[in-house]
Amino acid sequence: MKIDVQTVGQMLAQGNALASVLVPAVTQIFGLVMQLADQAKQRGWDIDTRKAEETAALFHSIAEIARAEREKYQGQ
Amino acid sequence: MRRLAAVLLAVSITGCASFGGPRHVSVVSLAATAGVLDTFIRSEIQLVCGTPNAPQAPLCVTVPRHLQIVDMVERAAVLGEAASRVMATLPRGTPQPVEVVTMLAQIQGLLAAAMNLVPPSKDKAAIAQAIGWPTVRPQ
Repeated sequence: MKIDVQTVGQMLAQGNALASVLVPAVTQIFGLVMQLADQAKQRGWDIDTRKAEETAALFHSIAEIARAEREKYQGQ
Repeated sequence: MRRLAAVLLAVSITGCASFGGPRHVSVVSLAATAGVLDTFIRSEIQLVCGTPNAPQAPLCVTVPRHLQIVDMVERAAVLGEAASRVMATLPRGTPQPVEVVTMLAQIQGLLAAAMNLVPPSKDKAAIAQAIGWPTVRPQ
């Protein structure tokens, strides 16, 4: 994951609306990967299957967002 | 599409995934891909023409394009959910299922196609950087 701190800093300084989405998202993704690594290491690289279920739930919520957007804009 | 796949693969392989087994690689790849897809759609929604703070035309995403994008994102998310559910049921030591690898490639292809529908702009460049897509230059 490429994290360009300078760019994010510039976006925040410019009051870019996207920064409110991108900054927590990048932090969340990075944190998730580190958390997975830590869990896997502790368990002898046996990843917690609950994490896969959480990922499934995240994908499900993304699909819901997409469906809501289609409903919002269809017919326009 | 190949570039994004390479980036996502690099994220997975050069990150913690490289230290785990084949199953771990798939789980981490899926988790990272879900994060990327989530970031992309939440950001893209803000670029739809007419949305407050969206860039002016032609830099904003038109409604027809937005509908194409959400269709691709939905298909990618459905695939990702199915692949994640497969991974959640696999016991320790299981090799990476071919179907999951195929699904990941399909998801990455859909994400790449959706990204290509966003008009070039500084905002697109910011999204690209956030999700590790190196090919978009600020306009």
